[in-house]
Amino acid sequence: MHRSKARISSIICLLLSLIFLDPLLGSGSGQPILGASAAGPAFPAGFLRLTASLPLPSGYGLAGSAQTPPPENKPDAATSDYLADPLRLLFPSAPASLDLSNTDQAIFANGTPGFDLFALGVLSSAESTTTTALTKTLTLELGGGFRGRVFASPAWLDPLPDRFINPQGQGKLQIEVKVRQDAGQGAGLLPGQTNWGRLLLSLNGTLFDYAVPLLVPAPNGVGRAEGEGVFTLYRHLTARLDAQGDLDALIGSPAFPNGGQFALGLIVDYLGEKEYNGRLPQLQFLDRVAETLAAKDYNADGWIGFKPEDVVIGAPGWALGKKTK
Amino acid sequence: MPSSNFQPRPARPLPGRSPWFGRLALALVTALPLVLTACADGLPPTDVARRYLGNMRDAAYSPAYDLLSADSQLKVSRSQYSDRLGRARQEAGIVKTEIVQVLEPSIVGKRASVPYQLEVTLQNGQKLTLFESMVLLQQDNGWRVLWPPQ
Repeated sequence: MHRSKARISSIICLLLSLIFLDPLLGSGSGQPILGASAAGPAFPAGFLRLTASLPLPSGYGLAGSAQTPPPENKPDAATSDYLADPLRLLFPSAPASLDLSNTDQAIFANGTPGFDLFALGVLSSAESTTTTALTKTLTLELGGGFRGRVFASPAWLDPLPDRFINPQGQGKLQIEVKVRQDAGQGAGLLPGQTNWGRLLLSLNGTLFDYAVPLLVPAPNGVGRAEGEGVFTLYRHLTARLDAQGDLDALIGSPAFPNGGQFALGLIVDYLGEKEYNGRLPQLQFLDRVAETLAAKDYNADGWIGFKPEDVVIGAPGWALGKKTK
Repeated sequence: MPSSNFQPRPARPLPGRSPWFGRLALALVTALPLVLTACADGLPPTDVARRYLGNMRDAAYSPAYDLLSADSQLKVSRSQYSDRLGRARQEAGIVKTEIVQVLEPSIVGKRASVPYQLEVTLQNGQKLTLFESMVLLQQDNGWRVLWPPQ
């Protein structure tokens, strides 16, 4: 018993001496921070440096332009042209392996928040929602070895890269967060409200959650004075769903966690498009919205929600419904 | 070099006022947010939403945080919430927020949805009209706001 205590004490002394002696031995900051084994002499000092440089995800910084120095070596086919070595981009055609055997141990600073806010600001105008309107860069300081994926929802949120590897050492990852408008991919913004997106960053299985708000102006013709018109339609929609016993769909469902806000965005779009150029009566429009929220075919016409012919006359293509028959 | 001669002395009570007056005022100021939150315990969802929006309008993020649901508070700390929302507001260039109207809620079980209309003024003078909805949960301490909204 006494001998085992003495042995433990000697190990603790050895570790402490390594911690305090390592800086004196001159391990410069330009050296690799973390070797393949965390038991090496460089580990303690490296760990201290990493805890200061890895405030994930609160340590992000917004950057209008790339901050990473250009890679000196010519990138190969599997290397991103805007990520410094050893951060490598895995293209979607080469899915990221979950094998962590050749990846150093990841280091997360104490107190690293699992949640953060990455605000995209204000879209310049509702009209600009027809193109890629906004790009901001999320910069992360990474230490240790990481394999990562970024998952984004809804479809209008488009991060690039969405998967990456940092086998060892320290690196800086810049994720471009774009706003995508693509009806074919179901990607669209709702006007006249804050659109909330969500980025889920997975680093070696540890999840970091980012809420991404984007303010989108209402279209011309839907201003403060149009509030009553908007909410009149909203009340009719509430009554429609309530009559069907599906009022819960307006409050929240897995597909529409804030169904009321989604409905308000569609109503603002409908009024901004002059009721789809006067070609879709209000009752039919409300039926489409109610069906979309409840995922049910109320009028038994074989479609849930907006039909292709609705899109032709002005309904948002990304909100196209589903055929049931 | 800070002086080492400085000796802090206890504050003297103001003439004509009891020393308990200051302590009472301090206690009131400290307890005010708690009292206001406690007052929200029995309020209907629309009133809680109105109070939350008022706090957001005034950039009073700490009292707004008290109105978040328990799960939302687990997700983000008070200081992070205040810091991030303050920064987001600054980055968006929002200089003024006006609550135009808050409507009656739709309630199903312990969940409620409260629609509202805001008018936001940006630094460049542009005014944005927003039509949004807030989801609230009925918890032991009353209706509380789900955050972040989705």
